[in-house]
Amino acid sequence: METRKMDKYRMLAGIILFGSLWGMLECIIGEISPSWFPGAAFLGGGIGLGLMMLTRRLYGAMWMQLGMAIVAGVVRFWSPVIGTCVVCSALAIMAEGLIFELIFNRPTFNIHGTGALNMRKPGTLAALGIISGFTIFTVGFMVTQIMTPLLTGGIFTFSNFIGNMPSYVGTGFFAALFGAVSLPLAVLVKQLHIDIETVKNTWYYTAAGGISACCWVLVFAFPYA
Amino acid sequence: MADAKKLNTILAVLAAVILVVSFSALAYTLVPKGEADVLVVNGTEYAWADIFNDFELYNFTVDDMDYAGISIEELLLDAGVENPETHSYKFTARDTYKQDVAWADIQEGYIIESGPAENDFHRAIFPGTTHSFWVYDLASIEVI
Repeated sequence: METRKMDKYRMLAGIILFGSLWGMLECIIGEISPSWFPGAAFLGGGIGLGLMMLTRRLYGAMWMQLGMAIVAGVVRFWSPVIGTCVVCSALAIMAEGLIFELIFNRPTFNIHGTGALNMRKPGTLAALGIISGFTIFTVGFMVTQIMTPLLTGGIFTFSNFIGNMPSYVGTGFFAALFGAVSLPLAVLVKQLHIDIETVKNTWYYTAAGGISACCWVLVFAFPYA
Repeated sequence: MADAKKLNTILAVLAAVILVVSFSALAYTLVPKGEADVLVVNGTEYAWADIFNDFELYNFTVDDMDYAGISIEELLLDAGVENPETHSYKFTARDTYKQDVAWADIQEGYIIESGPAENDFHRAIFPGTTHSFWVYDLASIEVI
């Protein structure tokens, strides 16, 4: 897959913008979702995968999504939410970004729209959404389960990790379903003929900076609201 | 074209396998294991109906939330655990979710009957740890 040539500052602003959006949604939806709703699966398979695929389509650049995940992880780490291991959540988000890159940097899964084998059929996209949504979420979940005890001085045992596997895989079912919807939707957004490169610099950087700043303020203010 | 068709078939099969396996795992976790009305501690059975009357109830606050629960340390001593400080403990939920907890955290830990959150049901709470160590719908505590 070819990486499109784009102004590096424009791409950096995109990484910060979409990473901040993702991180903000992780912090807020993670806190407000009721216990019956699989919020973590929605965030991984729906929001995370959807935003990464959307930017892959809009910017056409590999490794940008890992950058977004790092920004989202930093936002999550910055959040003053209590009671959860924020370092672990941040690492899980970054792991999700890495898994996305490992899947979608393969030429076979070129969603760029210029040389794919048959990546525009809704059925194919839904199947790919199921596979990637499930993989991204469950790997992120497992990373959290390994890192939390290690970073918080708790006990990690391999037998517990294996014993809890039905929980990770079972919750991944919802991530797969969300992925089946979010990935085709994100790919289809390109049909709106949005071209990031044609947006005027003034508008682009003002919007990216303003929205990113709003996300960071929201994340910080939310627990006190 | 043949490659595209083959790829579509592989993706469809893989997606179907993921859905079947993950749904089976989900169904497995949704079916509670163990008895609903007892907590097994080191082989001793305690009835949930009595346990909150038989042990002293303590009020405590974690993350700005107020709870009332029984001391896990007192429960383990009552269950006849010898030299409790030399062990770790495995907490298992009825959905088979497991967490191992060190004695230092056990000493600060409580079991609550209910609480403000929807999953605050028969929940082991360790104020010094992150929520992933808090096991709800508790089925057993084993000495390891």
